[in-house]
Amino acid sequence: MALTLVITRVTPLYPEGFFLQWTLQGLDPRVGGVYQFVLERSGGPVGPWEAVGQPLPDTYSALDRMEQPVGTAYRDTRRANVFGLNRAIYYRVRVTTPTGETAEAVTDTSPDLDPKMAQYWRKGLYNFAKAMRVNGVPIAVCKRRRWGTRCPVCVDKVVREPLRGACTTCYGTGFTDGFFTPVWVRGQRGAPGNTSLNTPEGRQDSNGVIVRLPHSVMIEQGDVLVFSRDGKRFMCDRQGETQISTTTIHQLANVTEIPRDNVIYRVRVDTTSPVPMI
Amino acid sequence: MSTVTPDGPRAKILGQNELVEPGSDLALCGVFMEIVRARFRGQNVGLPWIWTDDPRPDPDETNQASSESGAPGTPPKPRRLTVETDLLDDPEARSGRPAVFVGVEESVYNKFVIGDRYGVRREDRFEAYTALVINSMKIDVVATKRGESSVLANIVWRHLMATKNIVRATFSIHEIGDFKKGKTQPYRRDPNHQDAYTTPILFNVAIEERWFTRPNAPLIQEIMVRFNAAGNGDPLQGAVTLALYNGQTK
Repeated sequence: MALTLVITRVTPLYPEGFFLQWTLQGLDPRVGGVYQFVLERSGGPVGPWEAVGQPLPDTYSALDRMEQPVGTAYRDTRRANVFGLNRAIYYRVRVTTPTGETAEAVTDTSPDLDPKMAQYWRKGLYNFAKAMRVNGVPIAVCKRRRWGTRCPVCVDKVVREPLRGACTTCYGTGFTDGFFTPVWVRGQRGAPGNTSLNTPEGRQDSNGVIVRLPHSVMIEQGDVLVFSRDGKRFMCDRQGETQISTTTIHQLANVTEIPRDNVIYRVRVDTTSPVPMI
Repeated sequence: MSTVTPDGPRAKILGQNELVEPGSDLALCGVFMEIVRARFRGQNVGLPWIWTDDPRPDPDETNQASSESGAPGTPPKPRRLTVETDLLDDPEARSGRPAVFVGVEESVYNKFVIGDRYGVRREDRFEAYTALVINSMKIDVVATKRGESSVLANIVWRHLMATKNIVRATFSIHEIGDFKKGKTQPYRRDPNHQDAYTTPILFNVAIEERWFTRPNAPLIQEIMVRFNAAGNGDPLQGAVTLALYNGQTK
């Protein structure tokens, strides 16, 4: 059996952070020595990843207290935090054995299920995935950065306000690069709700729709959904979930179409060859 | 050629429709819209926003001020700014951000002389009047970021203050004053829009209005008296006599 790393439990310890536990399966009993673990954190399930603390030799648990990264000041870098009620954080644990073999596992921070509930949960996931094969379309989920290096171009470091909504360094998020790596999923977009209002600020068009998404990437307000089929981009306004025993099966997101001249259309998403990854 | 050119010494931009009266709402909207555009047009050194008549974002936009560092040898390109009058029914750029919208809130006649009297000519009882029309202007600076709305509003506010004497002289405006920049507030007209922030700039524009009255009945009465006198009681004969003899009787 190949070496496998399994993250067994993620315990939230609000307001500080999370406590993770993991184990190894498929160990070769003939191999002795130090197993080196590295814990990493990201706002998206495919990174980019940032190391949490130092490497952990022969350690099977870790507490992420979301400390200020070493060598940075709070004016320049915001540390990760769980103050948002809908904050999505992903962890990756990597192991390197004494023989150089590696394994890794990625997890979100959702709670565990007992075996029977987990059965129902898997059935719910399967049903949703099956429905999306017919009615779903490829969607790239761009998770917005909520922490990290503040934009050196547009953020005033004293008041910590972005001063340019169309900054091409942070795309209006206030953090360098703006978004985590886009993740492809398969979801369903509802019928458009196009309206055109005459307001004291001139005529304004708007389009609000509901999107059904799998549980694999938790959507937050401000995240951007890119539809490869028609190139439209939407921003999430509100998110809801279908759950079993407080574990998400799929999500409902209220999204609004982003005006076509918005800088978010510059966020690089390769829509030519979408491969559902999750 | 500058587009901030007055239509004569009046509060109206050259080229505006003839139905738009100088000093009216649309005329003032046009004047101040062009003044704001002038601030962000052309060689806009040091600002990351620019106004052009093409609202499409430049593909090479870096959204940096020209005073900041960019790729060597390549000047940074500012971001398009929308500057329009308010309540525009069909703008080319819908929901463009950041944006500056110019409008008139209300106008009121303000008495500053007794009876509004400017003067009188006794010969034909021609009477001239004058009053100040106070127009309350409102400019909304809307952006997706609070900081951007605040910074842009500050630039527009200061620009209006700094140019007010030039504008007064050019457009024959009596007074521009009471510049007030309000608090930056969250703004969302429609639930299906993204969040935005707006900063209002309020100021008054006073324009001197003049008008006259001349009573016609006494003039007509006087003409009839002269016709009757010239025609010995017959006004038609009198009119003929006056016309043929140029007012001189036989």
